[in-house]
Amino acid sequence: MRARATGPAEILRAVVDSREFLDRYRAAHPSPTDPDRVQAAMMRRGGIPGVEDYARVFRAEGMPPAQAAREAQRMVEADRELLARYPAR
Amino acid sequence: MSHRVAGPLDVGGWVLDTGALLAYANDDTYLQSVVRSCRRRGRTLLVSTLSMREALQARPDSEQLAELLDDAGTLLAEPGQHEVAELAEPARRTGGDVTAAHVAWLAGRRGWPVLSDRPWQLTSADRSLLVEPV
Repeated sequence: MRARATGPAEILRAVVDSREFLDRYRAAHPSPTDPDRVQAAMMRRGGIPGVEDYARVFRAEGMPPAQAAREAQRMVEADRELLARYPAR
Repeated sequence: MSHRVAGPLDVGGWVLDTGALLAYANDDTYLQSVVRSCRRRGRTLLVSTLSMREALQARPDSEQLAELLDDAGTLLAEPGQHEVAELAEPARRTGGDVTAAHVAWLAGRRGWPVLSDRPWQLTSADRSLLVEPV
């Protein structure tokens, strides 16, 4: 549900509500201990980003296309290395 | 296609709106590429506490969001007392959506790109934003 407000008092209420929600969430949900394992699991479920996915990120940041393609290729290789460290069970 | 591209950016990070967080929770490959490329290069993922709340309310059991929430590269931003007054006008322009107003305010202050499923709502708050649609 998105917070709707236009007056300062309503906005402040939305801010406080969010803070209290996040405090309760953190108390009830411990953070995963191995972020790389989470990333590998995402790739196995949702697919591995391709060169075009990463190149789109870099181009949006203003990187020249040829450099974006090179950097994207390095990211794809890093993903492959990450996946190799977390073989499917 | 991006909305509003105004030359090379000095990008220290990306702002993730609620829709981007939900796409990340769904293992979207573009969101994966944004998150991992930022982490590997020391860029910041800036998230409004209002957006994070909305995403976690929709996906409370998401391991992806739980991990993102506490990662060192994620900066959670909560509007301070003095910023609340500044949000009133952008909130009015977004039709009273205070989350959209805060996301637009965060991205506009830093000049960072924002990933969102509602680019037109964000640019109604700040026309200078670079919004990548998800």
